[in-house]
Amino acid sequence: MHNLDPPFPRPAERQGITTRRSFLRGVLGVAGAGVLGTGALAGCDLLGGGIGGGGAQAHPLDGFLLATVALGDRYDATLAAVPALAPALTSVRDAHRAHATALAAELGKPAPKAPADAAPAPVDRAEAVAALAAVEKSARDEAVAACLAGSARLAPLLGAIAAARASHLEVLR
Amino acid sequence: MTSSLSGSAAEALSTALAAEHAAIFGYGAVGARLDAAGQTAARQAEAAHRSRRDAVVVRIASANATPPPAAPAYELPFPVTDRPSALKLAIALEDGAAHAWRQALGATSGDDRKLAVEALMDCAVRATRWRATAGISPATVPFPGTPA
Repeated sequence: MHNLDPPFPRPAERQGITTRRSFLRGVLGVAGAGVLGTGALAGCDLLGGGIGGGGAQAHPLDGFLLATVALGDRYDATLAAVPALAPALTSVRDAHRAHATALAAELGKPAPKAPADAAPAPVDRAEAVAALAAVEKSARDEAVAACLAGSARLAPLLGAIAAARASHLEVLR
Repeated sequence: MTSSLSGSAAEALSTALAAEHAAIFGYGAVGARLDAAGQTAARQAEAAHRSRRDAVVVRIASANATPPPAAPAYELPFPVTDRPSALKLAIALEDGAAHAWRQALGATSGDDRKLAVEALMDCAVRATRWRATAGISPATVPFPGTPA
C-alpha cells in the first residue's frame, strides 16, 4: 500500500543512526510547520482516493458513510432554520461533507444521497445547538467504533473523523 | 505482564511517545505567558499528556521493548515571548501529538488503537480550545492529525 504520509522522526528502533536531539526536534518541527501553514507537509493519504475498489460493492462502512452524509444534511437543515448559526457552524457542516467525500473516495464509490430527515430542525437557537450536540456525540462514538473495527488503511481516516466530531462538541457548547 | 507489539506498532507508539515528551516540555513554556484561565488550561493539558506518556511507557515496556526517554532539552519551533506565541505553541504541541497518534492508528489494533484514537480526540479537542482562545476561526479542523 502506498504511503504518502509526511516525513516524521526516525522510529525508536533506528535511533542509532540519528541523535536524540534531532529526533525530538523533528516532532516539534512537524508541529511548527503545521501551524505556520507552509504546506510543505501536504500530501496525506486521506484525500488521495483512487484506491482500487471501483464498482459499488457493499462495504461494511456503507452505513457509516450514509450517516455521515446525513449529518451534513442535518446541519444544512439547521442552518436553514436558524441562519444566525451560520458563522459558527458552516465550517462544521463543511467538515462533515469533507469526511463523506474522503471516505467515499477511500471506498471507491460516490458519496450517497441520504433520505430526507423526517423531523424538522428546531428554530430556537439553543434547542438547535443542543440537538446538534446530541447528534455529534453519538456520531463521534460511532466513528470511534468504526475506527476500532476498521482496517489499518481506513483507521487513520476514521480516527480523524472521530476527533473532528469530538472537537465539534466544543463549538456546540 | 507481557503483551507483544508488532514492529510497526512499537515504532508508532514510540513516535507518539516522543511527541508526548515534546508536548510536556513545550507546555512548560506556554503557561507563564497566559492569564489565570490559560494557565489552568495549560496545566490540565500538561497533566493529560503526562498521564498518556506514562500509559505509553508502561505499554511499550510490557512488550519488553525500551520506551524512548525524553530528551534533556528541546528546541522550540519559534520563540515564545508573549500570549500569542504561547497560544501558537500550545496549538502546535497538540497538533504535533495529534499527528503522531493519527499515524499510530493504522499500525495498531485492539487496546493500542483505542489508546491512539482517544489520544487523537483529546489532542483535537485541546487544539480546538486553544484556537478558540486565540480567536482563530474556525477553531476546528476537518481532519485532526493531518498537517495542513
